[in-house]
Parts: sequence; C-alpha cells; structure tokens
Amino acid sequence: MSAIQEVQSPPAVRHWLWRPYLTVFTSSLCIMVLELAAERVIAPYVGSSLYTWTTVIGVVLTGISVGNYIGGRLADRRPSVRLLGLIFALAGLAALLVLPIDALLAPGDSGLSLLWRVVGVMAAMFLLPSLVLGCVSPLVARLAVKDLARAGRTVGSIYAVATLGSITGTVSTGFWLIPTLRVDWIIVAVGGLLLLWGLALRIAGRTIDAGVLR
Amino acid sequence: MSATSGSWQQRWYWRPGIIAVLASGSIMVLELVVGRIAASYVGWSLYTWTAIISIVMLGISLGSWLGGRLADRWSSPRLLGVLLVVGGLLSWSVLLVDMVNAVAQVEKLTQQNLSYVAGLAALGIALAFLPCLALGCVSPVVVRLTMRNVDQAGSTVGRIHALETVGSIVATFATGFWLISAFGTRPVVWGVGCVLLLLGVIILGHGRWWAIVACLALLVADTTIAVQRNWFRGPCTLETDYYCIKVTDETREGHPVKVLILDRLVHSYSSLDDPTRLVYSYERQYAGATAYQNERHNPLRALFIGGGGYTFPRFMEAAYPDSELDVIEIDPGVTEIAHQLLGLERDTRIATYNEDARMFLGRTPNRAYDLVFGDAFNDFSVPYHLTTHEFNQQVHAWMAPDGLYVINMIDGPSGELFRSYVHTLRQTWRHVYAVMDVDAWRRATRSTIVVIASDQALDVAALGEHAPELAASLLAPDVLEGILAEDRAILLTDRYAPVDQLLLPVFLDILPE
Repeated sequence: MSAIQEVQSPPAVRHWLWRPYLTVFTSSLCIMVLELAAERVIAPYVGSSLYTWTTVIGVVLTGISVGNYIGGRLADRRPSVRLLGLIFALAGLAALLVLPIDALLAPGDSGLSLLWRVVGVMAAMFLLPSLVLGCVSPLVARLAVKDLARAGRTVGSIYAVATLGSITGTVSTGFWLIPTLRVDWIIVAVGGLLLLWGLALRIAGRTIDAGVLR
Repeated sequence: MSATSGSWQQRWYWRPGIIAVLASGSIMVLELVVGRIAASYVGWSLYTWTAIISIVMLGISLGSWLGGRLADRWSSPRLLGVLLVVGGLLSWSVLLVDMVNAVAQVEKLTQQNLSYVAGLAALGIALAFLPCLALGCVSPVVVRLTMRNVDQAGSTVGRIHALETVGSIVATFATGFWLISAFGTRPVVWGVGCVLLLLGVIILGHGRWWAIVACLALLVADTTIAVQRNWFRGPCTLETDYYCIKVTDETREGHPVKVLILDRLVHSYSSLDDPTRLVYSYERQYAGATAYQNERHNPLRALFIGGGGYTFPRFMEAAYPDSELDVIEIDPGVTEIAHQLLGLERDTRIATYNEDARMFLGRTPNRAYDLVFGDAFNDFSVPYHLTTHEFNQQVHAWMAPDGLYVINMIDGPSGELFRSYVHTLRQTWRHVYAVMDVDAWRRATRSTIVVIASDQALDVAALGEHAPELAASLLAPDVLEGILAEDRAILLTDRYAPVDQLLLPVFLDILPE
C-alpha cells in the first residue's frame, strides 16, 4: 500500500533554494534569537525577573501558536514556495519594525499598571514577528509530506530539525551574540536575513512551485 | 473516504487535542521546575538557563524524530499509551538529584565542595532529558493518528502544533506564577507524573473503568504515604518563584545568629537580640559609609536595592532611629521570612517595595536619598539590568547632591566585571571609589568589593574619624587607576551588557576546584 503511494508520489524537485529542513531550522533559530533579544529590549521598562521572562515566553509562544494555526490553514488552501517566501519577507519586516516601535514607546510613563505595560510593550514589539514565523513550520510540513504512510516520519523530522534550530538560536544568542553585538544590531541582522531569504524564495518560487506541486 | 482504522477513534477517551496539550504542557512544567532545582545548587544565570533550555529542546528534538518513525511503524493509540506511561514514570526521575543529595547528606558541604554541587546541578539538568525524550515522541504520533490524508497535512500539523503551544503557554504561566510557589517543586513533579500516568493507563486500558479506578487508587495511596512521610516538604524553609529560602542557626563570635541562605548562597547573618551586630565585613563598610554620611545629614534617608536578610536595614533602624528607610526587595517571600524568622518587626519603620528596582526607580523621583545601598548582586547571578548606565542615571536622579551610592559586588582577580562596572559608574558620578584588599583579591578566586560613587569627593579626614575601617581599606586613586588600566573596560548599557561573560572567570575558577 505504501509502496504504491510512493510510486505515485512525484519525484522530489531539486532547487538550491528549496531546502525544507534548512527553512524550518532558520525560522526556529530566528524565533529564539528574537525571544532572547526581546528580554534585553524590555528589561529597561520593567526589570528582568521571572515575570519578564514569563511574559516574553508567553507572548512569543502565543504568536507561534496563532501562527501555527493560520499557517496550517494557508498551507492547505494554497501550498506554495512563493507563499513561504512572502511569509519570510513579512517576518523580516516585522522584526525590523521592533526598534522603531521601541523608540516610540520608550519615553512613556503611561497611566497603565506596570503588569499591563509589560505585556503591552512586549506584544506590540514581538507578537507580530513570532506570529508570522509561526506560520512557517506547518507550511513546510505540507510541502514536504508526500504521502500519508510516511507522514509521521516527515512531520517528526521537521519538528526535530526545527527544535535543533531553536537550540542553536538559544545557545548562540546567549553565549555569542549578546556578548558580542549590541542587541539592536542582532535584531536588525535577523530582520535583514529573513527579508532577503524571503525575497529570494519569492523570486525563485515560481520555478520551484512548478516542480514541487505537479 | 477516511480509513476505518478501528473504532477507537470514536471512543470517549480519544481526545488528541487534550493529549497534545497535556504532553507539551508537562514538558514546560518540568523545564521550569528543573530550572528551580538547578538554581538551588548553582544560582540563576545565563548558563543555568541555556543549559536547561538546550537539554529540554534536545530531548524534544530527538523525541520528535523517534516518535515519527515509531508512528509510521505502529500507528495505534497503544503506542501513545505506552509513551505517556513511560513519560510519566521518567518525569519523576528529575527528583533523583534531590534524593542523591539527601542520601549523601552533603547539605553542609555546599560551601566547601563546589564541584560536587555543580555536578548535582548538571545531573538535575541532564535528568530532564529522559522525560522530554519520551514526551517529545507524543506529538508526531498524535499527528499521524489524526491525519486522514495528505491534503490535510498542513491544517492537521498546524492545529495540533497550535494546541501544543497553548499547552506550553498555560503551563509556563501556571508554573512560573503559581504552582512552584503554591506547592513547591516536589508535589508539582509528582503531579505531572500522575497526570501522564493516568492518561496513559486510560488509553492502554481502552477507557475501561476498572483500569482507571485501579490506577487512581494506586496514585492516591502513594500520594498519601508521601504526604505522611513529609516527603513533599523538601529542604527549603520556603520555596518561592525566585529562591529556595533556607534559614539555619549558627554561632558567630560567641553569639547565636540566624543564617539566611538563598539557593546555595549564604546571603546574610542576622542577630535576633542585637540588630547592630554585623557579621559580614562588607556590612561593616556599609556602617562606615552610614556613619560618615550621618555627619552631614540628619535624619538620614536610605534606600536598599535588595533586602536579603534585612540585616543592614535593621542595623540602621536601631542605630539611627530617626532615619527613613526604604527597601526594594523583588521577592515577597524573602520579606515574609525576614518578618517571621529574622527579627524584622511587623510594625517596623522600614518600608518595603516588592518589585524590580527598575520599576521603582523608573518612576518620577519624589525623594532624595543620602544613601543608596546596592545588595542585589550575587556571585553567579548578577542582574545585568541593574549594572547599566541607564540604571545608574535612574539611581542618580533619586539621590541627594552629595548622596553616596554604595554597592557590593563579587569578582575574581581578573577584575573584568569590576573594571567595566567602575568605568560605567564614572559616566554618571564624578567620583568613584573602591574598598578592597588588593593583595587578598589577587590571591582569591573571588572577593567581595565595595564600590562607592558620589558627585562630591569623600572627605578623607572625616572618613578616618568616623569610619576608620572603611578609610583603611579605601583604595588610593592611583592604585585604582592602575587596576582600571590593566585591561579593557566595557561601557555597560541596556543595549550591551555582557555581564555573565565578564563573570565567566569567577564561574570557571570556582567550579573545577
């Protein structure tokens, strides 16, 4: 049964830009880099404590969660590498917006209670990039799953690689990026990388989609 | 059109969403609890966090890969049941580190044998790998069992992944804000294991009531025994979101004192009958600075960043009855313990603000302090946001023109943090002094240094008169310049403050010996 399906499933298309594992690796890595950088960006507003960390983790996870849901719906409706490119480019733009928003919010001693201020500041800056990046993994899974009999394996491997990306992002940010670079440059670098990759996928996507989906 | 792969999909217990939520939530609960356990041995630091996050994610990663392969081979709910039972049993293993410590009875060794303590922390973190591996397998299995055809792959993966993330969020908030402080680490881990075990048994037993009742009975019996044997209490006097707080009795210089231990660090010694008895030498330097400042300001206004055992606030309350004393202590548990066990009166004149110092000092100043004492830096865990130029500016705004900002910090002979910290203070205050014994500092892996910042130069003659001990160990300006010129000094800012890395020599010197 599975043999028949495998015969029927299309041959994998090779294009140097279409790398499902590298794609999820990068998106997960970028989420963790942004998450660790986020704590450094909001600590001046509210301090660095358990509550700050909980808010950072909570907002980023919420973004990923909603992103996963939206990404899954989008993926079944219109699975394409071009869509993936658009998502990456949007994530890059959202990350590049973090610093302007920070500059706008920075001086305010608003009337809000501090707890809501933490959640508000954090959400204003980091909800959007997390949400957009959260769309990536279900879309890549949809593009990579070729038949049901192997679905567990494919999805499992994609999760695994995504988590390796998260580990790499965590360790490299904690031990290397934060001690080496200013935190605003880290965010700009992540935004730029995502934007460029997204544009490349968007441009190359037409050719790749023709091969992947036929 | 969907495969009729058995009637189990119509059974009441087949709730893939709930299974996904519970499995991923359990991982987050374990992650935070293991963080608390590791921190009680080596303190909070970037290294503690990075190690835990990495190990947990590694478990999830390998689990996802393994779970995917298992799911394609045996796509049946029985596999899921086995995984949940195994995950439940393995989650209890993270408590083994406490057992090892209890069996070896090395509580007393925490100060002397640091490699042993570091080993325990590493063991605790490593043990988290096993349950995360088993629970990481769950997700692809649930996806595989739920997915009917390839066209739904995206939405199936997306929906289950989203549910898992919801589970993680709820678990993160619940553990961080409520579970640990309400129950303590041991009952929380026990509860996680029980939930997973019960869920696994329900699936394996096809939802038969007698299997559920038997499992429940067993768990209730075990819980009762554990409660009766007082096993859930653990070693802490009070477990909060921030610390495992322990209070012990000791005799110092012939007098009984209460010792406050936050995680593994002996934070302060308090004498119940005589608050003016100061054990730590840095506190005697603080007393010197207070005596000096008392000559020009009466009554004194003092702010403490970090309450700890309230030793010094109580000293000032007793020695300077007119003084106005404000304490910023992030952990309400520490304040409560000080009230209950460390002699802080309920009707004290000391006003406590239980919040982060950045929150308190970020408001518009409405007082001018003559003295600000920094006591929030521990050895491995220095809150970086209290070292930066921006924070110093906030402190400065709350100080009288000739106020003193007195901070104690720990650094090793390489002095990397010390140089950067002094360099940063100098951007805000015109005069920065260091109080230390240079020879002892050169020889020890770690020393306590008192730093004083002020806009007005210290009057050395008056200092010698009112605070001889402080005057004796105040570094001459040229000696301080010499130390500062030894190597690079970083300007610490909110955007760039690699404090954990600057402390790496202290961290490394301690652990291997």
